Amino acid sequence: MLVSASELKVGSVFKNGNDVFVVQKLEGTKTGRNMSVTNLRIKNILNNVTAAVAYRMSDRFEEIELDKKKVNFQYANGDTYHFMDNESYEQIEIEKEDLGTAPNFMSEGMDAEIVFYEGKPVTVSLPIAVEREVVYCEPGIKGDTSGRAMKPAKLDTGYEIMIPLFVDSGEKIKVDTRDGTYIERVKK
Amino acid sequence: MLIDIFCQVIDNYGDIAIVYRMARTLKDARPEWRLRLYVDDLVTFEHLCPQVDPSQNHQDLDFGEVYLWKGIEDQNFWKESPPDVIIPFLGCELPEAYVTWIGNSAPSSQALRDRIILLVEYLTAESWSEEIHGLPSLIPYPHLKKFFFVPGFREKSGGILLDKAYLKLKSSADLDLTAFRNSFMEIIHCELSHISDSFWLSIFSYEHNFNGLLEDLESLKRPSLAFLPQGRPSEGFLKTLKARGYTRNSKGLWTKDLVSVQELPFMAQEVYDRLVLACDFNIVRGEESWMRAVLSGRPFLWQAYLQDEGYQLVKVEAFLEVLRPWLERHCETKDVQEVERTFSAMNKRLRNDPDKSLGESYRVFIEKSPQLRMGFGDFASYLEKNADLTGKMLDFIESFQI
Repeated sequence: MLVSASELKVGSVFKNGNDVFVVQKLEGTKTGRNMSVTNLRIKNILNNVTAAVAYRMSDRFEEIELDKKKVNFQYANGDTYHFMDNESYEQIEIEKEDLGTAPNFMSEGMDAEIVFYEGKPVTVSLPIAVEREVVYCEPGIKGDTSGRAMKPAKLDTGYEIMIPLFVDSGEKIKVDTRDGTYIERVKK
Repeated sequence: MLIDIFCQVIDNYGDIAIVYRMARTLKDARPEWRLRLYVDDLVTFEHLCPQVDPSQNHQDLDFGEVYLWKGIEDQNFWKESPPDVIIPFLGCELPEAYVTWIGNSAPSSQALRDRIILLVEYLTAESWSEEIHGLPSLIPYPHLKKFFFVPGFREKSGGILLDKAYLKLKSSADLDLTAFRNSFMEIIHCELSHISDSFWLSIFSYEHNFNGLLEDLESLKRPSLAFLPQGRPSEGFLKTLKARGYTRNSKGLWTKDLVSVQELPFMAQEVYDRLVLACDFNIVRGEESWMRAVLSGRPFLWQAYLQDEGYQLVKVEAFLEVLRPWLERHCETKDVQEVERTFSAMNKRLRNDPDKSLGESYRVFIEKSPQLRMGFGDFASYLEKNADLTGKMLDFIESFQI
């Protein structure tokens, strides 16, 4: 299936000639005349070599559909993340650099999907929204429920995020794992 | 070495102006290289380069061969020899069949170990110019590589287009401005007596209401002479002149007290270069005239190309961030801030409107001209020594040499 560079996301896998790459990081930028370029860090699944590359938003790629397995995140040991296959109970290890932004939102016991290419785990896919606890932020302002003004906060995973002024430390929020943004406060 | 250069003229003259200048600069640096320029609009090209004959689909100019090209739909324009280097400028897209033809050709054993495509992007002062410059863009051909080349003002970007002919004119203007101005007036067939003590300026923007500019010029106690090349701001400007009571003579000169405004016909590239260098202050737009103004070392005001949702402001702010330290060397903080306020005011727009003024003030460019000249001049000198796009491009290409 052909996709344009604007449709790529962290975890997308695409072919270039005989090589297969997974997107580890991406950032778009606007050039001139309303055109855009996307800056990617990609990893060659076959030889594990990473590279920084750039594409115009109109460039097209052959995206590959890969095998997926439902897993449960067990724990992290340094940069190695340990998962368990929910059906076979097989242990699967993935290095942090292959997880993209997922470590920012994962907690032990969380369900996820691992993406495989020819039997090799290449990346993880999380639910679109996860709940995480705010461990640090400036005190909230009562009455400001508009949600328009934002303040910086830190989650229990260490991830830094912008949240509305009315959210306090110790509260739980829902986070969009696709772009790392605040969705809503979790009602107690 | 065989280089194919591609240019699509989208709007205005900037696209072909940049590409024409680049082609001449490359040829000047490497006279033994063969250049082929594919452009989709020879009529516009002729305006900048009178030697171009729009009726000829193929012609030879001083820098190389010029071919009329129908753009991405043109499926059989390519010639017998695949090029070593392909340079599509400013977002120009290449037909897939052409890229496939080159990708499937063996590399030339005499020039480069791989053929290369250099995607030359729009000039920007933003930091991403350093991040993306030189990055590869993977394509599935073993001997064809593609890279981004991002012109910019920052150290690790692609630099800006230093044109020897332009720098030579600049030296001439810096050495004897009066003689340079006299020569310019002869070229444009204009007879005016008050040259040496007048404040000269040029206006080459998008549609805009320049009532404020005229007000500021009228409040000066010295003569001023504004040049208005034919183009997008002309209609609105002329309306404003009439409304403010200026009188016009048969040679397109409008006057009121100490302020004169000379209409100019569309100019060839070299004549416009001379105009910029002859002026104390230039209002410029887009990319090509912006680059000329930056390198002139004269104070200028830049109106950036309009982008969706006013995104041009991001580019203007990035440029001001790069320019600021140079102005701060010679100007008071309040004057630097006034320059920046004027740049921002000129660019805070969602459309180009000949009836709308954006609240900008030009006084600082007039009253603090000597100090600003030093700041803009230092910036230009720095770029001349450190930001040579042609040199960087040649180094890049020649790093692939066998």
